[in-house]
Amino acid sequence: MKRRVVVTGLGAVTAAGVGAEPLWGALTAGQPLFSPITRFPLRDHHPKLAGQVRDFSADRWVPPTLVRQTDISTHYALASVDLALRDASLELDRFDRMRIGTTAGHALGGMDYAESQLYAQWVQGPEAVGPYQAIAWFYAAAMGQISIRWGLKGYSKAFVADRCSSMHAIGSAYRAIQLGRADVIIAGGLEAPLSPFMYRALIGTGQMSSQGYSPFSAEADGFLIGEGACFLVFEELDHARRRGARVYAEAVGYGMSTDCGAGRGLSVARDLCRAHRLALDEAGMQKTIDHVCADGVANLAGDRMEIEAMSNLLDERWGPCRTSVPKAIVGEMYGAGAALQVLAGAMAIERETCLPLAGMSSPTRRIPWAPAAESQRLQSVLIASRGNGGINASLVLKRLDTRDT
Amino acid sequence: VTKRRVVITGMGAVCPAGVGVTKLWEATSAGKPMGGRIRKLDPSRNHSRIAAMIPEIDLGFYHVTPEELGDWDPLIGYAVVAAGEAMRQADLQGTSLDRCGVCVGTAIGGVEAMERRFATLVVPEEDQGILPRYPALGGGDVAPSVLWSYSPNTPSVEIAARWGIRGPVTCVSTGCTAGVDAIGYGLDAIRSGDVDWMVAGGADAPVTPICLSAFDVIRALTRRNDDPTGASRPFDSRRDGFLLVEGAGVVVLEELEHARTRNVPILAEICGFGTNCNAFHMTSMHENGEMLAASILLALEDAGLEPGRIDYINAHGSSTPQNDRAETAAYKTIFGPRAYDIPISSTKSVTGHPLGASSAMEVIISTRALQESWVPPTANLVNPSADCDLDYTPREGRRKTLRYVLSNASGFGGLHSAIVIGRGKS
Repeated sequence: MKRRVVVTGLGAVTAAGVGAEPLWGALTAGQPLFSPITRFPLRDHHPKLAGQVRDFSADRWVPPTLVRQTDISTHYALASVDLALRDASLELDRFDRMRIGTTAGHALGGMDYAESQLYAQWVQGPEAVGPYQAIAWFYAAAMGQISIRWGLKGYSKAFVADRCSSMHAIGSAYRAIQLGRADVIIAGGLEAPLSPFMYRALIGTGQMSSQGYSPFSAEADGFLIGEGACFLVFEELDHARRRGARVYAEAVGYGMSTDCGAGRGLSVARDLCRAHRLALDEAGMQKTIDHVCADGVANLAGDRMEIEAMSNLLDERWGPCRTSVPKAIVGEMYGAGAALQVLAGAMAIERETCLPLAGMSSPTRRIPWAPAAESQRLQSVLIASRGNGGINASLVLKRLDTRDT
Repeated sequence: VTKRRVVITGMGAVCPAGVGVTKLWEATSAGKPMGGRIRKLDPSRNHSRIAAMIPEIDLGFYHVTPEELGDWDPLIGYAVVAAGEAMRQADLQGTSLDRCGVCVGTAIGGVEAMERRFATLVVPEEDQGILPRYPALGGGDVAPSVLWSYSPNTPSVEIAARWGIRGPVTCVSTGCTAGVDAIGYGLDAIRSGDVDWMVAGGADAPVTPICLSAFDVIRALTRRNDDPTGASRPFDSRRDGFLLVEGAGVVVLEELEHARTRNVPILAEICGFGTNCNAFHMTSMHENGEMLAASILLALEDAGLEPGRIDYINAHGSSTPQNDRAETAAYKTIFGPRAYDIPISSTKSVTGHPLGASSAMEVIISTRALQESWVPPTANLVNPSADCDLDYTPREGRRKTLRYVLSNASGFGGLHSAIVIGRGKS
């Protein structure tokens, strides 16, 4: 009998603001939150819009000395974990911290901080590089700071896998709890891609839109990026029960697949479907998904592949299953993007709400979607994530059976 | 529930001694250190000016074209070449490519590729010698190959593409524990039934201006510039930091029955893995090594072994004053008086410290030690410091029948990981 894993807390810092509540408000309103980038000069042909975090005061969440020693992505992560722990009402002092860890997805590194150090290096010379570059930039930076801040001494890792990064972090947290390596893992992702050089590098991928983020629509020409962090508290079921924790949803299946012929692009439908199927198989479910939080890369070929994968999975029998792309409200958050979608899926189950598909004006293909949030007692949600190099990872969340509580 | 057992059926390495596990083992078993002045960049304004570099590689033999190499950060080439050696040895043709994956860890990813492009944007050729106005970047776009090279998961993706691997492909990026963490990830992926075999290991290429400066300023690196081959001297009283190195170590992990059915040689068994986080400091650890000791106990518990069963310890032994002291204390905590009787060595005395690649290379060295019944030495260990008083196998290796070997690693972020490797049976 496998150990079961549930979600008991959520925290987010996104373009919708600080906290899961403002994010939920934005996701259900279905109004995108993109604004012109003003942080650094853009060149004429650069995309102008992004989902930017506003009214965020790092000092409220991070000790002053640490603010200067860490990248802004770590500030978002520390705030997001703080919120998730409070939301879970997890009194850490009552538990063995050796059994509590954190896994974090981070696709691009702390480049906001690193760029200032790289300027110093290349303009003034090696003497100008400061002592915190070595700990602010690398991918395990936030993971390390989270563990120090809350004294978490258990299984902790950082994962990098393009836009799947935080799904891999969440999937590994799920597996680590199942296997008994930990009882609680705060898992999610972080990203702050709005620094001058990194933004230019991301434009180079050709996946960004020049106007808006409208997955599955005829106008789709790419995504807009967003920044922030999302973390969820994953907890072994009995551990959660014993402390009377509120359960958002149960993680019941996880699958990963790769289209090794994808080159530097995205997977074809067959391989994406394979990840979905692995997750459903583990969940013991067949063609009975109530909702999909789709990756929604928002280009014609990519969207078509994703619809095809879902159609194959469900044998064209969509039933009550409708599709949303929560990222289309606050932006593709790279290392945090998949965690955002998992968070949205968990809230949708708990609040019995079908999320609308934002930015949709004229669907290109038959894909069931809701124009506005609707009351629906979702039993299960499939969350998809895809990354360049043909990588896919899918997670199934399920309503915790009332007989189990 | 009995755990699925996991064995090693292939190994590959790229290190300053050359390409191949044989080169790595020849150098480490004989205690022949590597190192030299950094020539790839001008280190004259840094305190540390030495490193150990990878010799020219004949790539045609390793599924890599010169065009690809020109487009790639060096660590991708190292990883693919090391994986090629491991895959050839494991000889997995005919197995299901849906039921396998890749996880190559790295501490920093493809920094060189990114830094090169960054430098040309900040200091355009026509402005050389003039300080550009902060923070304006010069004109010019960034080619997609830059982000591809920079992304730490690209080695895993490129390996998957070459051998048609269609299962989980990811990267753990956990500083200097990345290589062994990736192997731990592979172990769990096989145990949980997600895959039957996994390509796992570590790769890093940190000899770039920003990395050199960043490690230099926090005094992590050795400054023994006039003696490069004597610079990495773990446990010695005159150790003063680690020697920056590039390279990769990759293994093929396989479920035991899967390997038996294929009737392939089993090189060793991964008996247990333990990992934790000290929650203490980003670059430092408790002086008594308490969390490091706890990670080793987790690995022993996972392996179902008493500490007394360990015959040899391949230490992290980074040659920094604090690490070697704390590590020694941790061994005493776990093994008690018997700590003095277990041969220990730091093969970083020979290889230097290729960050995330090191802990994977050390799994490979430990496996060779088991196979050869040979304890590799700690080179350069002349005068052990007073707080390092265990048997570190100074300068000369020795013959010993080994049944179980412990290899442990510590890294930035406060991470500690340990792995127990057992003798394999064909």
